[in-house]
Amino acid sequence: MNDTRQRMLEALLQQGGDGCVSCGACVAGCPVADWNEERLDPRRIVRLIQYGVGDRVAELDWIWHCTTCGRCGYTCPSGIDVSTLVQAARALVPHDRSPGQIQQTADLHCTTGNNMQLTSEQWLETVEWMRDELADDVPDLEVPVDRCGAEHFLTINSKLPMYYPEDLQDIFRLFHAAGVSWTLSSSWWEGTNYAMFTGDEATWEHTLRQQVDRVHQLGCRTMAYTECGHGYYATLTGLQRFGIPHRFRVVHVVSLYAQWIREGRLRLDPSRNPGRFTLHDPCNAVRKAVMAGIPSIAEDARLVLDHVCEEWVEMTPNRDANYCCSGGGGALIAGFKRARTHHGRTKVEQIDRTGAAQVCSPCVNCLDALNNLAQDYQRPWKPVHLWTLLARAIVS
Amino acid sequence: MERHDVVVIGGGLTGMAAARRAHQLGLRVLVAAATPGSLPYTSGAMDLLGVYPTETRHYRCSPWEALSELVECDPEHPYGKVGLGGVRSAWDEFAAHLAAGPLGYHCQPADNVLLVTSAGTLKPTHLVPHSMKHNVRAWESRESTLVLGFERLMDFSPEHVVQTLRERWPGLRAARIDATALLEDSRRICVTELAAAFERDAFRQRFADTVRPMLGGARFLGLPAVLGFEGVRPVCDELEQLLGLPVFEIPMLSPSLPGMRLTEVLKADLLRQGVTLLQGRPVRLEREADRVRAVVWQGSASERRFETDDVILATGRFFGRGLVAHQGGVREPLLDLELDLPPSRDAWHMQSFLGAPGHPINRVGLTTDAELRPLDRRGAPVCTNLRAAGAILGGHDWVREKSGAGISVVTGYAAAERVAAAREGA
Repeated sequence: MNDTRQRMLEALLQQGGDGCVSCGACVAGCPVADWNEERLDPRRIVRLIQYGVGDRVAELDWIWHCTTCGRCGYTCPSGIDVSTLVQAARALVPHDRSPGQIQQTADLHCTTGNNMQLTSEQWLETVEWMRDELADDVPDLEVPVDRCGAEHFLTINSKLPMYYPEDLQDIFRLFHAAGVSWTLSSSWWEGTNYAMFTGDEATWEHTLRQQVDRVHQLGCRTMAYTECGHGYYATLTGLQRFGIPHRFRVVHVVSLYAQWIREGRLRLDPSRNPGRFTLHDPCNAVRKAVMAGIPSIAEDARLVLDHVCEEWVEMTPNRDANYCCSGGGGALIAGFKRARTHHGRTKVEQIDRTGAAQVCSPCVNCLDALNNLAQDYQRPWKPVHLWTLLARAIVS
Repeated sequence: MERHDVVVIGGGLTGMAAARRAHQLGLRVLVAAATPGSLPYTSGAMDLLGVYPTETRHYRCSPWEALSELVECDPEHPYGKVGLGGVRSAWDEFAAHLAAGPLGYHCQPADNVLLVTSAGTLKPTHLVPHSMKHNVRAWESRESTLVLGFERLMDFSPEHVVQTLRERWPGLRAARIDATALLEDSRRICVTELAAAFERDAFRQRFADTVRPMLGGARFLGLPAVLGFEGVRPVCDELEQLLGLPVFEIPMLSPSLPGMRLTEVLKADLLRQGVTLLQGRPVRLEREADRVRAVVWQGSASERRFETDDVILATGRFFGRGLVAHQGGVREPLLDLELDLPPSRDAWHMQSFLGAPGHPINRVGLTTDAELRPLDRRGAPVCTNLRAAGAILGGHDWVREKSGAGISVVTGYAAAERVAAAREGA
């Protein structure tokens, strides 16, 4: 048996994969089952490995269509998580042969400290620009950068300074209103980690270690992880996986928002966000978090929504059982756009059924994927960040 | 570290019933489940006791009459341990809850009913969801009924249902429609895609327009159980309005939407009440002398430890992995609890595969005291604060008895009540 086959078989057996009864529960919740002529679904991945041709799994485009959302593993009566098999298969593909821009993004993160190749000057200029714009509105505004001893080290998704700088204003307004001690960093501030998705553990570990060092340099007690599912997941599981010693705790910002509301730090007026909202649970910060043994943001996100908008309704299914946005696992930047749009149809229907005008998505990646779906399916609903709703609802 | 009054291990019907009752009794509950259990695979109908004694395959119209005989004759049966009063109060409360919920369960409290399945068999059961109410009535009336299937839906054959029942039900007829023509884009035809379609107004309209000319004077319309997810009830009601006749669902093999709906609805109830539910990873138990001290959630990246006063083991049998079978024997994997296995492997099974008395191995499970605490070989409780409930208990054969849901709910409630009573006594 060749090496790839052997490793796929080991990965399957580790999952108790001999217990697959082909019942199809995984297929029912899989966003990428049954795409085009391959007609693949999670069961068939298990079968290929069982039949001793696991090396073929690594050659399939399907493993890059898969959003590694983990719903198969969550729902499997035998406890088989096909997304971990997909991860194992991806790791066997030479990183430079992975499709789309996943590896390229990871490489940029590794060499420049962020996915968008921004220099410290460019990043800080954007921060200043947004701070100055907001200062008219919030006179005593302060946006600390590299402040030693601050409580919270805040990570930021590099798409924000690059494409959505106004979102920074929402975040600044929010941290300011909460009256907490926090700081941005001039380096290693990126709030994602795409290397996890190509199985490039060296890059994953390197970028994480750099960020950990940076938090230590600034002496912050918490790393406040921005609204990003996989970055949060990659950080918390990466610290365990690579045994990286650290003297801070990692908290998702959504959990901080909830804490601030419980502590009465924020004065909020829900009528500032009129209309009906619904909530998308990002897989990595909810279902996959629970399964990894790290804190889920599901209940905290709900508590926040209760305080910031007039009306919101649940999608069905929700929380751990929610469907993927169609852009997880690196799929958003892996190419295969037509397939991704097709895979998103379940999500679109789920949102349609709520009758909501806006979809709150506390994850930058999910938000972009949902925006794509709204365009491609010509839907009227709009995805929105939680920080946007909070910033709007704050009564100064 | 997080602390709970009681941790329920297992998220199937037993685990959720135990958690519901524990929460009602004011306990701080956590549910930790490795897998969703077997509930999503069930028909969605809730059995209490349909056949007793199993040796005679005697279908019982009244579950209560059968139960009082069982409790009398078989004190080691889980129902025997709980007693008739306990069975009644638990089942009535749970049935009322399901009746008031979104699936609108329907019950003739005194009687069992017969439900038409996709195999064309008649399944004795006690509670059926709103969407299957007319399934029962159609069989009772034997009136002219159309069973409608979908081309390319492999999981359901209307012809098979009709062929099996035709002799006893001459007015039963089968037909199929091509659902692809009704869907906006080319989709695979499977239960979940159809369920999503039925929750859309436009699809229901087109479906009704296609089916109306096919009814031909039928008094009931039977369909595979694909009429939506948790929104099935309004879908059924609207189809009845559009078509002008009672519409019902016929339960199918897995993945079974009625089972999935019930799972989701019960889960949502618990979440609403603030019960924490963890699913998808195995747990292990930390023991300290004669107590379980903590339940450890084995996350793929890190472990989470939950200290607890009490534990309810509701891990099910083989499908739920509460019991694990290998060539040489059967094990309870979490604590290696004692099982009442027949002395030799040869005695596990009878000669006749489908024989009425059932195989001895099917009755194997945990032996407990009246407190539902698993006992060791010498007959002493293994842990003072560990109770077991549901299918993992020994002394019953739920498949042949048609008692699966009943044993789950009733012993789940009983275990929670015993935990609460013991706390009060202490």
